[in-house]
Amino acid sequence: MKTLSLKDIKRIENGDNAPLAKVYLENKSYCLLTLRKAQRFALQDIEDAYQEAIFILRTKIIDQKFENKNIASYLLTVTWNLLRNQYRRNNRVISLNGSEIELYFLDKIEEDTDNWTDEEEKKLQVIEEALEALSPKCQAFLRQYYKEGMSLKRMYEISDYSTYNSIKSTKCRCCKNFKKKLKEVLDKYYRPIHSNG
Amino acid sequence: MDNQILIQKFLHAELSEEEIVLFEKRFEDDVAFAQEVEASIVVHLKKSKDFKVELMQAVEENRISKIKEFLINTKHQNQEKTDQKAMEFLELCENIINEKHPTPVVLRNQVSENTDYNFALEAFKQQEYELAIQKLEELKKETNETLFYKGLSYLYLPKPNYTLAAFHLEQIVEGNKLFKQEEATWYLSICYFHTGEVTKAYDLLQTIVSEKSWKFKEAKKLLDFLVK
Repeated sequence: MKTLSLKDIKRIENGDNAPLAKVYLENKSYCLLTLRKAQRFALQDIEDAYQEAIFILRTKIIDQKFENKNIASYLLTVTWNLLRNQYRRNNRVISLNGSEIELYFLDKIEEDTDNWTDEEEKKLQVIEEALEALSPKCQAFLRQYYKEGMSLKRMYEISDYSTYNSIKSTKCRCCKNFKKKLKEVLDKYYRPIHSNG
Repeated sequence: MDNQILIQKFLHAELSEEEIVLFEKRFEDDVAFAQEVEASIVVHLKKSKDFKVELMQAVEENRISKIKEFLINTKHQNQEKTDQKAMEFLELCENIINEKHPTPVVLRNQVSENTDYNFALEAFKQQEYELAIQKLEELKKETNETLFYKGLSYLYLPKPNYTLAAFHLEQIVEGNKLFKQEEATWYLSICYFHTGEVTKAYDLLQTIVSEKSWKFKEAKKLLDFLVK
């Protein structure tokens, strides 16, 4: 099916969903496969967006605003745009920056979690999962440094580090690893595109 | 642009990325506009949710009518007999799905090599198919084996997703690697009956029988049921 027949358009305008079921089945594999290959969106998200695209198609037909074009391309474009918008929103919601991470450790972590918003909880989960993925030594170091708000100088005084420079390089290495793990956790749960590599 | 037209364009995913940025900025700055947007989203979501239920019902009806259509064309039977036969045939297909495909044996020396995959297989074995799908989705590398078990997991869900099952199995059948291809062909034919793609299903069954591949006797039984 390239374009909708006038007969099917009339049926849809009259509230008959059978032609839409046909359109849904005929183009689903094409849309899923193309979007999956182009960007590794989660399949369930593609399917939901694809159903939404069919709903939009129906609305436009009923409102007589649908230009009868290649139906597969139309559905693919709408599904793609819906996914793009959805993932864009998800990305924005849990973007984290350095000062936010410090705030979480210094100010928020001891507070009553019942009053937290979903966004704050998501951010804390990301931070904690990233922390747990580090070596025990780095974990302990960062917890002391951020959560307990200890200065590097004070940490040097009470630790076994032989020189101040060695504790500085530990901080540098642990922070770098932490940033890397944060990115990995964000990619895992919230980013739209998962690399194949 | 009129607010309602702008909001509808937003809901229909017709705004460009630049237009979305402006839309969101306005949403944050203009309280009246934000309220109008929120009200429109509520109405849109309600209508969309109701429609999706109706759509799935229409898809289900389409599936049955496709099998009936096929039976009428091949056996020239009357409507009443065909209705009954179509339902019996789908029941046969459901019985095939109910007999679960075995999980592959994981050798001891493979356990540490790919823990995530083994975890997915364990979920499959325990019939926790949603978890199996989730774990298989997380794997970076897709092989015929991961595609196969992901396809089957979609097929074995309490509410099977035949299209997503077919989506994975098709990649094996249409690919050039032979591993799991025969098994995938058999299950794909069953999926096609459920998605209303009866002719494709029928052709696959004929291939299975003619090549005497995996489950060829069962494939023959299904073909006989359809054409005799």
